[in-house]
Amino acid sequence: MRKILRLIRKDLLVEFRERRSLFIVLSFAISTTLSSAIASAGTSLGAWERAILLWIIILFAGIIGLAHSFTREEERGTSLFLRLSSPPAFVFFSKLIFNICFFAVLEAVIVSAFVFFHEGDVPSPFIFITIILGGGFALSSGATVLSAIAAKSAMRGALFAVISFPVLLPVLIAAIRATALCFERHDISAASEMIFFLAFSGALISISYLIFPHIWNNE
Amino acid sequence: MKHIARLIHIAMPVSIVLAFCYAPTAEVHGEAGRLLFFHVPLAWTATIGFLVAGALSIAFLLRGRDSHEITARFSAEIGLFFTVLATASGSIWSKLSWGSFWNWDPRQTSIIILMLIYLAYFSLNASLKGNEGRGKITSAYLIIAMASLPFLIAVFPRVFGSLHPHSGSLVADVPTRLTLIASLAAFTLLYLQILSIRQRIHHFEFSRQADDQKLQ
Amino acid sequence: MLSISIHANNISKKYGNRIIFSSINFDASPSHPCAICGPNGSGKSTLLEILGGIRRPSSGSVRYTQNGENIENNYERFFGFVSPRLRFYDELTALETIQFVSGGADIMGKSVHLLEQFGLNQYRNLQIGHFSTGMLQRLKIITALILNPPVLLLDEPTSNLDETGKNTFFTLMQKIIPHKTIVIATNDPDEAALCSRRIVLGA
Repeated sequence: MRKILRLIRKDLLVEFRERRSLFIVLSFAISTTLSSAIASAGTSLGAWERAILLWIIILFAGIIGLAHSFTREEERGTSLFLRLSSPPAFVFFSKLIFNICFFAVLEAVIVSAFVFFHEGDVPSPFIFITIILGGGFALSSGATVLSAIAAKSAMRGALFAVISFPVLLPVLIAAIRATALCFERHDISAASEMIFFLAFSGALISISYLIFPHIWNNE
Repeated sequence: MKHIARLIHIAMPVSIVLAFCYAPTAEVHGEAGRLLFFHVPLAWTATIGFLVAGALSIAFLLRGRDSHEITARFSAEIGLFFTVLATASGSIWSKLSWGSFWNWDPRQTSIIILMLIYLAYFSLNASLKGNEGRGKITSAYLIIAMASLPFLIAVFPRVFGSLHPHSGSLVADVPTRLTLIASLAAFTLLYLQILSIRQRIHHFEFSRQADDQKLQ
Repeated sequence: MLSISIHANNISKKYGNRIIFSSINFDASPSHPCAICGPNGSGKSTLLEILGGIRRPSSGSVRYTQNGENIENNYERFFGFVSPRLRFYDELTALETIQFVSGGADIMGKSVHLLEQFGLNQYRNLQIGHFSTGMLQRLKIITALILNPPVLLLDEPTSNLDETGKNTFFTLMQKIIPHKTIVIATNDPDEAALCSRRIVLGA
């Protein structure tokens, strides 16, 4: 357990000292939110439109932000060092936890900007936040192992986007629906989507955990 | 397997004849309704291709026999091909039935997503060229994709209403049902036949390469 | 730490149709360092990685035994690895890198001791991105030794080192050779001279 914390600490140090990619992701997130608000020119968008827009921004920013959890190790050449330092399961879980937290922070920024710039209120903040976090949890769960897969390939960043879209689509759809329902004040149905998120995360995490060594270990 | 697959030479002509001559004209769609006997099996084989590829990928990761991974990839190739055909035939059916080539119908959308998964799989395969771990990594992806599909299928009905004809209504009478089963069998055999031919081609290429090496 | 031996059995490696090496058999045991020699491209680094379990051979197998009994390869505590392919995280400092490998305060004293031995103690809070190749090489040797592993796999360990660095390395080697199983992949005569056995790869 301490080992996993050590790995997470390493990732945190590297991430925050490197700063550049963090700024890029956050800038992307804020500028897309802002652009979408300007483009709708102050008119009030419907619940579904807002939900779709919000989650598209979250997904795209997430794809940019989560891709590098493994791809950067390959690009910088540090993956051998990482491989030697810990068993595969620990590496996987440390990256997973890091991604979940990172994504939550990213969502916080995006959602704040979104709610600030777009017209329309958020009726039940608590349910809304739960859905955002739940969806983010599900997206990160899937994206972690996909990042490991894409990292081994030639065109890492682009390929990550290509392979993650089909896999993460169910979460995107469920999240949009849940958020729209939440905007329309159908709180109960919105909250029930959480089960979907948790089920998806559970399935993806278990399968990723089993499969990860086959991807991670050099053949 | 290849001997069973050879039955295709009988099965397919029989099924085509049945589709055009034996099955009655459909009530709503008229003669064009016979498309059913081709569209449904195409979608069915596309899914089989995927499931077989997925199962073989799991077997490959568990056992490590190269032949599993290679067959999985062939199955995916054939699956992709049938997916494209299924989408095309599905759009024609959709135009006939509901007036537009594309409706946001769960099954139509699922088949397109399946196509996306195949395309992602082959992009991954291509970009891993030369990498020793290619087989394992692509198998891993297929398994992950297979894991997320049930969720996709679960989420659709809640979001879209279903325009896709309920299976019951179209296959009400016995001849239609029989013809459909015959088509399904024929197309499954077609899938197996193509797969077995593909495997044999690969086997010949492989042994030719090995012979070349021995000569060197 | 108890002693561990490595047994390589009929190892071969090929990429596609190109055979790098085949039918490699040997045993490495404590206090008898082995050298893997051969021209560039003959697969020395690859063989070393196969011995460590980092790479899979195309055929053959590698076994590890402790007092005659087979054991599993447990990377971090098992062997120290020095290689040109190894790269550290630029954003971490030297001390943080060592702590990442070793995991904690209980090794602090030893870390400082090794850093001093290799003349890096004054740089211990400097980020790796600012290190020279010579300093990096010395740090690699330190991280390989910090957990006192029973096996050392060294790929050209004195490359990029100046005279002082090399002296420190060889002095250290003389002290630890009797207690560890060491395999060195090298073309350097001084490094090869440390070894009592030798395998030559390449045509």
